[in-house]
Amino acid sequence: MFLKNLIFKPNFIAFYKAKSKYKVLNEQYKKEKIIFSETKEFESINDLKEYIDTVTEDNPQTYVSTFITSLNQGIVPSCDKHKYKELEIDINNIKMVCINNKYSFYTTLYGLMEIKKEYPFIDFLYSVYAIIDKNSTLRHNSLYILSTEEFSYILIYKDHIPVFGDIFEINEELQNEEENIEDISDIDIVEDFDEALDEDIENIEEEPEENENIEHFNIESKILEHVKTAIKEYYENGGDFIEKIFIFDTIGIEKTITDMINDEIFIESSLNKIDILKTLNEISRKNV
Amino acid sequence: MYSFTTPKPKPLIKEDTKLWLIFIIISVVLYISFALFLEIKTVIYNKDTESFNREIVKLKQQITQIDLQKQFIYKQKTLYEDIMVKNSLMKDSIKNLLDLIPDPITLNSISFDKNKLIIYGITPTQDIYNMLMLPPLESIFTQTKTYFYQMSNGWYKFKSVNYLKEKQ
Repeated sequence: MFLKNLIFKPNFIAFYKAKSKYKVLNEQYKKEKIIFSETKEFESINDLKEYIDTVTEDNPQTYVSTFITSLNQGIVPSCDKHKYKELEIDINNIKMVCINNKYSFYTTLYGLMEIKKEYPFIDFLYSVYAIIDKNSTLRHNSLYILSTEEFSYILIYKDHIPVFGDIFEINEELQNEEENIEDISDIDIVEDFDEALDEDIENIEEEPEENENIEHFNIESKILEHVKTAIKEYYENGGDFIEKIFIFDTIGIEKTITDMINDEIFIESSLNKIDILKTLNEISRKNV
Repeated sequence: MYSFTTPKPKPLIKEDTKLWLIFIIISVVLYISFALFLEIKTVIYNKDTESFNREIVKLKQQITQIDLQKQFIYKQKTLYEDIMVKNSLMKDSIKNLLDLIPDPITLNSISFDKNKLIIYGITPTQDIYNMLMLPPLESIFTQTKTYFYQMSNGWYKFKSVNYLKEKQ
């Protein structure tokens, strides 16, 4: 193994699908040192496959990883099968991964099969909670939210064990918001048209910024909603008080979200940017 | 950890690298076998050299022996030639001698020694002997001694001892 690490320079490719685009990070390591890094975006799976094939052909020691983005996953604060039965999870239809003999992540066999069918080239498939788990620092009465273009993934820790996990879809809500935004912008344009026909182009250029702000504002408020919903559900199930909220941002959330959370639910929060693909590669590196 | 799937087994090297490696291994094997072949040949040649060296020593000894034999044979040859010459000389001498013997004298026996000729015979008188027989003998031999003994019929038996060289 040592010799293998010494001689070979493995490539780690991590990818995930976000808004019908495949985001890809290809890194090459020599021992512990990164010697090559490349980020790519592909429109189609064929392009992605072609890229992976090229890299694999060049270096057979290439490990491809991704994570499950869908709702077909969850966490159980135990590795015991009885706990699964208690939670009414059919053990025959799921695949579980036990972490440190303390807690486990699971996904449905059907979902796993579908992903394997869609991405036959993958070596590692992780739960989205693995990304949060890998980046988590405080593991007691803390809530983590990983925010992507399409989902908000929430994980709550108690006594160093994740005890609660939830996934909220943003896309549907965003679509609604987008409709609203479109309405608002239409009104704006009409107003602008009416009020100042000869107005500078600069003002027109400002519009998308405004839209963006509105969109972000909406995303932030949606995230806040997700946090509130999750906390409510957690408390209803007898959970302890959450002391800190960590927001893992991958889409560029405004800093105001921490104030929003503080104002609304009076919990201290912090906003951290994380690189999902880098995290995936880090996990993969430990697995090789 | 964390993964729902296990990674596929990865070949350690690329396909074309595999081919290269096979060629390199083949060439290394060939190189090593050729080196071994040369090494074995060297050992065999060294052994041959040793055996040849031993043979050379042996042959040198044989040559020495043969030289010795040769010298001995040369000596023998010289001796033989010497003897041959002597014999032919003797033969000629005897022939000459017999030719010289006059009719009145009769020889009873002749004996040859190395450098010595002893003649026994009968002569009617001492003078006949001294006149006819003695001069040729004296011309051949360096020293001639004759002893006479008178017989009852008045004739003489004689014994002539002739030396070719110094009397030994």
